[in-house]
Amino acid sequence: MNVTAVAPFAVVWVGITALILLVSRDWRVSITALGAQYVGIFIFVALVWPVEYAVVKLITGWISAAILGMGLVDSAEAWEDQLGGWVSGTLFRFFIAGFVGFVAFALTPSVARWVLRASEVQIMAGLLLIGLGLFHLGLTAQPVRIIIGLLTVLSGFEIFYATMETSLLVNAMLAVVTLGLALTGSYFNAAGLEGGT
Amino acid sequence: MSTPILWIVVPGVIAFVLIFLLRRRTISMIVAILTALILSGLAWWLEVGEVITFGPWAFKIQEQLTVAGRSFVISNLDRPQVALFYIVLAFWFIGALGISTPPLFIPLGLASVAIWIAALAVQPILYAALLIEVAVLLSVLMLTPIGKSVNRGVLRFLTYQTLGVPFILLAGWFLSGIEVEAGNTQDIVRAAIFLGFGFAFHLGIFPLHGWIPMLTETAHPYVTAFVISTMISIGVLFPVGFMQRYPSLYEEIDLLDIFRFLGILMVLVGGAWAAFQRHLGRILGFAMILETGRTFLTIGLPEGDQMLFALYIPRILALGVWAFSLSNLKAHSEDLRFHAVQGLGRKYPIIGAGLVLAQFSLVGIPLLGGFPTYLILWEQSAVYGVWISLGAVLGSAGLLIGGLRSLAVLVMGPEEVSGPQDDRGRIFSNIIILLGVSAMFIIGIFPQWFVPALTSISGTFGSLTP
Repeated sequence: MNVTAVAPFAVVWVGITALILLVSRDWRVSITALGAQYVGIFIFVALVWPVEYAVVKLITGWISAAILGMGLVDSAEAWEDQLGGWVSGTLFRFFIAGFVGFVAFALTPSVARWVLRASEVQIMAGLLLIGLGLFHLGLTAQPVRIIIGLLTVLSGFEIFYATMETSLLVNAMLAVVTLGLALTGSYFNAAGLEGGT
Repeated sequence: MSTPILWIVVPGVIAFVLIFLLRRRTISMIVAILTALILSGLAWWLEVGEVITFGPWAFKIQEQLTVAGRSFVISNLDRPQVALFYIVLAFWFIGALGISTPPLFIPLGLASVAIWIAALAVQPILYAALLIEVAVLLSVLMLTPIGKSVNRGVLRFLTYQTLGVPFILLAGWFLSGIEVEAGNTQDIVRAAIFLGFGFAFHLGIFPLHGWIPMLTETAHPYVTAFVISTMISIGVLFPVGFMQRYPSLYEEIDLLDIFRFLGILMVLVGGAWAAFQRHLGRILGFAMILETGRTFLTIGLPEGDQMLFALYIPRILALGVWAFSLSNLKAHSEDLRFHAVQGLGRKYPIIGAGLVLAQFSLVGIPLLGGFPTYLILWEQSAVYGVWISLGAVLGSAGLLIGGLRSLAVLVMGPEEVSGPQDDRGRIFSNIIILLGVSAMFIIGIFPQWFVPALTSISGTFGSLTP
């Protein structure tokens, strides 16, 4: 597979998945979008790494999504959040996503001067994920959504970082952090359920 | 056998085993206390690199452990710090005998200190950021007991700590570039900016300090005090370590000036906010912000490395007694807002006294543990301008107001409260508080017994002055 050819489409792909994470009210849709997001991340990492190493990001992301999903199966109500009215809340989030997209597009040339080894599509995707992840964090107080926001921000960072640091140990430890965050999110659900508070 | 195996892997394995003993709390605590004490003792006495004979066996302790091409190094120079970290851990665990703590506190507390030490020992230093994040994840589990919903303070704590990781990793990457191409000014400035943001998130530097009072307000006071004081005490060594390793940071930017400015800013913020709080837990949080400020101020002073460790024991002692008293108070009044704790000082006089005296110790009131070292800090900071010293004293004054308000609330109830009803558990707690308060007085009255030993601990951190 020629990953360079599909990279521009992957920018749109991660943008859509991050947008779904922002607006979705169904945990199943969100977990699926999180898993799909890691396909995009895999493509961007595979641009600079051998595919057999890049696939670690994909597998880690999918396992994280699965861990979070399993935690939510028994506590779907934990997903409920104050998203506002259906139309107004969704429109607001679309507007924010558009704004972040615009900022990511505008900032790409400046960031490219810092991160010399990254291509424009990688920078744009990284900025898009970091921006939407941060907005996600700012718009929610629900534990699992916060974990998803953090995972999104870290994913964006990992795209940049893969172009800078090729050490397998660092990236293995980043994978440990990703899995640790997912386990923590799952623990939050379990801890709350145990006492029913 | 190597030092990282002894002081990182062994406690990690013991912590793992202790997870299976959660239902046997006393056994678990005794094992953890003994482990911490033995590890501290070994760090104090065991000479690295020398042949040790034990009956028919003879072995040599190596200072380095290599994992996947990266090394963990704990040398003879680091041993005093390791000894100090483990003895302080034993102190926290002994305190936990007198209160009810979340079950995971003991195993994960031991594991998190081992990971913090791993983060200090790892080379290259950029790996430390990821180890710190692992320690943070363990802390989050400690702060969220099974059966209780996660509170917003913990979520804010996790968010800020995780957002700090990318900045430190990026700083590490830029700094490794500086090693290859010396004198690259742009990269030095970028590294310093990223490093600054990273540690601002990690250590709760103003204006990113909001998670600290939120955490002390909502989570278990004792566990929170342990987590945050460990972060302040060990976490602050990382920016110092970066500066030591990359002296070019000094050449381009006057970092000591920045440390002094940040220090005084945080002392003022912590003190000012502590004066106006109406929640006992939040006052503790702002006192910790003030302590972070004092630590930064100390780093910015000549011979700050020595002062850094001299501040350590009085701070930990005061925070420990304060958090212990607060946890006892919380056992009697779930709500720690002023209106809910009115008069509880009359009902539980020793708990109330412990809480207020610990605050006064952190203020720097004469005869209490904090006074000798804070006095030196105020004197030395005056060298850089009266306004710095004045700011440091004003911060303490703010905390003093907070302490006096706490005292007033605890003794002036709206109506008479019934007298003390001591039970066996409370007597044990009271003994621990009395021991802690006595220790604060002993350190305050006889600082010459402690300060010289603590100032010699700086070890590898050497002089901070370029």
